[in-house]
This record gives sequence, C-alpha cells and structure tokens, in this order.
Amino acid sequence: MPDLITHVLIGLIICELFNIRRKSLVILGSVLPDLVLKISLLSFFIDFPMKEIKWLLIPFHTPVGLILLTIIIILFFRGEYILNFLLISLGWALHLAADLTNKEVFINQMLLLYPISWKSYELNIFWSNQYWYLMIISLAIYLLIIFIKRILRRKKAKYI
Amino acid sequence: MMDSKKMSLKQVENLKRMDLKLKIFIAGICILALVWLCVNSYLNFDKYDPSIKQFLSNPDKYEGKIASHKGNVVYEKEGVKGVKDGSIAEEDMYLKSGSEMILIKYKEKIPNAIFGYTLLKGAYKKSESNEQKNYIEVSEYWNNDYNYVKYIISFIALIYVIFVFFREWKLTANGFIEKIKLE
Repeated sequence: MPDLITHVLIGLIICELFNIRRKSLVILGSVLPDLVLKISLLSFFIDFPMKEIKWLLIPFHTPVGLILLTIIIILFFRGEYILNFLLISLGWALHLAADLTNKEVFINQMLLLYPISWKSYELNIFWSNQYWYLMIISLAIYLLIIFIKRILRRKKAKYI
Repeated sequence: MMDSKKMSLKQVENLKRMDLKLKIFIAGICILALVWLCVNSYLNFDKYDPSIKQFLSNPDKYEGKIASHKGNVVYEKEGVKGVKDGSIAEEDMYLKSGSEMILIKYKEKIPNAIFGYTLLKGAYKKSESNEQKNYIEVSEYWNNDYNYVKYIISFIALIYVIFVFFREWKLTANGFIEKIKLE
C-alpha cells in the first residue's frame, strides 16, 4: 500500500497530463479509500480489536462502497454532479490501481469485486514498507511533467 | 408583472425544496447500502480471515483455518511473569494484535519489527494439552520495518489535500461552490 503522498502525486500526474482543472476533486478521491479504513490502524496505539474494525470498514476500500460514498459526497456540491462524480471516482480508481502493487502474506484489502467475491487482488510487487519506491517514481514523473510543461509554455510565449 | 415574478420565486423555492428532498432521499439510500455492506463484511469475514478473538472464543470452529495478522511480536506475555519464573519458555513468542494476544510458533525466532509491525500468515491450532495455550502455526511472515514513517508522511498529504480543496471550493448554504465561479 503506497503512502498518501504517492496517491496524491499519482492524482496530480493525471491532472497535469489531461489538464484537469478541478485537481482538488481528483486528489480528494485519491485519498478517499484510506480515510475511513485506516481508523483500524489506531489499534497500534490503542487497544481495540483491529481485525474486527478493519473488516467492518473494508467496504470503504472497495469500488461499490466508494461509488456510494462518492454519491454522498457530491450531494454536498452545487450542480455539475456527474462531472464531480467522475473526477472523485477517477481519484479513487487511481488509488485502487496503485494499491494493486501490494505484496501481502494473505488476504489484504483489495476486495475489488466485493460483495460478489471476497477475493483480494494483488500484483505482489511491493511490501507495505517499500512505499518509497513508488513515491520516488511518482515524484520524478510529476516533476518531469511540470518541467516539460514549463518549457513548452515558455516556447509558446516566445512565438507569440 | 409583479405576480409572475412572485410565482417564479415561489417556483424556484419549491424546486430548491424538492432538490433538497431528493438529495436527502439519495443520501439515505446510499448510507443504508453502505451500512449493509459494512455489516455484511463484519458478519462474514470469519469465513475468510478469522480473527484471534474469534479463534480464542471458539477454538473448535476455527482450528486449522489460515488467517493473516498484523501486530508486534513479544517474547513475554502481558500479565504473566514469563521467562523469569519459567512459565513461558524463553523461545515462546506471542503476537500482540490490537487488544488480542496469542502464542505463535515458527521454525525460527521472529525478530521484532523496527518502528513498524509484523505481518503473519498462519493456521490456528488448538492446544493438545489441557493447558489453555492455543496458538498460531506461522507459515510466512514479513516485518514492515519503519512502516510507521509512512503514516506520518501520509498525514502531511492529508493536510495538503484539505488545503488544495479549500483553495478551490467555498462552503456556502447551498453546498460547495467553486471559487472561480464566485469571482
């Protein structure tokens, strides 16, 4: 599971590549799956049944749960519901795609087909503590895009 | 002229009220569906990944079931004097996962994770003796060293998200409105 900085960076990369103006909605979506589920991690500091809490909240890390949560969120916005829904959904879809790189010893939180199936999908590439590989890669890509865009803008300004 | 203007204002108000009712209805359905999803996973997860609590309360039901665990390996059970008085052998390992603690057995000593936690996969085993010492037979483990750093830096990202969000949106009585539109 990459850290939230990586998830935000991936969201920003897509925003820059496709010139998405409402970046905040994409990056809100990109942190959304972890916002509720990670409450269970408090059990590292407070004594409570971690697994029970994790499984209670796991639907917030599944596409079906996230669709429902996104619908609730967009109701707090005025108008343009479909566009806002799509932008937030793009964010959490990118989050889930990045989480596919997870390596786990057993069942994890990638129940992409829940409640139809309880199968956890992982590509088994990075362990949880190897999050910085993806962070460095995404940060490098993001900075490269910003750099190229700045050069192109300067060139354009020169011609004008 | 005045009457028609009043009518249109009334209509707008009615539309707003209808819009609010519809929003509440949609939100209600979504919340109900989310609650159902959460309850469903809470009531059925023992079939796929039973918890230590479930195993300790009903060892016969979960014996032999494979499950995953997150926690810290300790070498002395909390509340028991342990190694010194001989009630726990020096090589006995326990997994502390949230509020639960259980004996774990592995072919070698599992080192403590540094500023992180240990991931375990193992089968629940019932103790053969009368002694209340049910355990997990570990087949695989991974120490997520320095993993807590991730949560600290994730917090920075969260602050950034809140900052960017309120830079673009303003909360009004009618909901969030893009600041560009207000300008």
